[in-house]
Amino acid sequence: MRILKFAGVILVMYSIIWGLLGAVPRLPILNETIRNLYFHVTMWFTMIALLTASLVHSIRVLRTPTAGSADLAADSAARIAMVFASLGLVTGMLWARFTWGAFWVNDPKLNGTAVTMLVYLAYFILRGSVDDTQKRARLAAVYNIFAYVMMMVFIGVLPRLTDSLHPGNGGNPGFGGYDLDSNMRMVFYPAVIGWIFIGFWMLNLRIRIQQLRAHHES
Amino acid sequence: MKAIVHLIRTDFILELRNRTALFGLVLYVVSSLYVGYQAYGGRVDQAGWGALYWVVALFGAVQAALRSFHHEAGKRFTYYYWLVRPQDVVVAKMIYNALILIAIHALQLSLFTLWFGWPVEQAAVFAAGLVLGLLGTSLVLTLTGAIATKSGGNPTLMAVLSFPLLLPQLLIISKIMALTYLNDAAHLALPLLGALAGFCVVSCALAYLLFPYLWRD
Repeated sequence: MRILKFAGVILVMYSIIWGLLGAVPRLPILNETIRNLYFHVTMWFTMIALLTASLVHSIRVLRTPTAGSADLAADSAARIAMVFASLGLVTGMLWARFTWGAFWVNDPKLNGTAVTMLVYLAYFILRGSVDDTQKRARLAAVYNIFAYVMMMVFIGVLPRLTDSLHPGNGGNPGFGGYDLDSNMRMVFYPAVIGWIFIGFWMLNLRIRIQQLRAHHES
Repeated sequence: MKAIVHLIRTDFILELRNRTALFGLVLYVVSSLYVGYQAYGGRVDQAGWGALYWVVALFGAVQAALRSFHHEAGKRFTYYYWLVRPQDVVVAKMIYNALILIAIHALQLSLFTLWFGWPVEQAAVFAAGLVLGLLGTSLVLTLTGAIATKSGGNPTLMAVLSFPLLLPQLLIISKIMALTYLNDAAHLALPLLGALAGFCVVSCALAYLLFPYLWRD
């Protein structure tokens, strides 16, 4: 965890500095906003990584009901993932305003985001409405697994069936097609890894705080 | 297999013994349709026709699924526990819910045609979309209904849990509906129908795998 957090901080610092100073291709409409790639897309990668961690912990809850911290870890990972989802949404809305002209458009990627956030907010509501800890862990784990798979099918299937303003979907070429040149790759991939490390550090901190709180109360 | 048939038959017999619940559901659909008829003044364009149809369908389906584990909420879960496998229970419930929904939609469709007309050109595409859509909806709602029942049977929770999971299917359905008004668009609807069928398979498999964990207390 020590290596993870230092590596995360260094990689994110590097991506902020080179993201703002490094060379980027000059493209119409996008212009300098292309730098937002380092800060917007990385949030979604981190969110997916954390939600996958939440899924793994939920499976652990069902397989070994005695695993004490699995439920806490699943809940915490989903919470931290929603922090990153909110940041991804805000950075995406700003980017959309300056390139597509509106804060919100009817786009499959945005629908996927809306579904994901609503599903995990529902997950928190479900957790809040069951008092018994064992039962809460089991019900929440079942919903989490169901929701994660349905969400992945949705995110994977629907953008391929419809047009999207996002690169890589419905007739628009992907990142590699025209806008992600080798200079940008050198910043983008470290930024993804760095933010994922930061996300897992935050998860670790939250789990430890909650465990200390439970210990203090008992 | 025999257990599934028995469970479905038990559900039907219980439903017929206590018809109030079923008629409540029918009345719910009819009155929301009539409210829609008055609100639109009896004239809707094509886009409005499909949208209104599926909004009523969605709320009706949530109401139907809310009752689906109603009987089992108490002691009967424990009783079944000794008799049948949980997988049989969930498969029986899914089939039963889908049958009830399709029966209700026979009524909803005829009333809809009476009050709002019939703008659909591709009846086969519409029928396929309707059946797959209702099947997918009832599959998702069976599992979320079981979760909501187990967590205390809160109706709000049911809607909160299921709406975001139904949104993807509704998006696909609305695309299919847009194609049913066109004359030669059947081939465009095929990948969308395939996606709906895929959702059905995935949600069915998940419900089958996950329900045993919900069942025991």
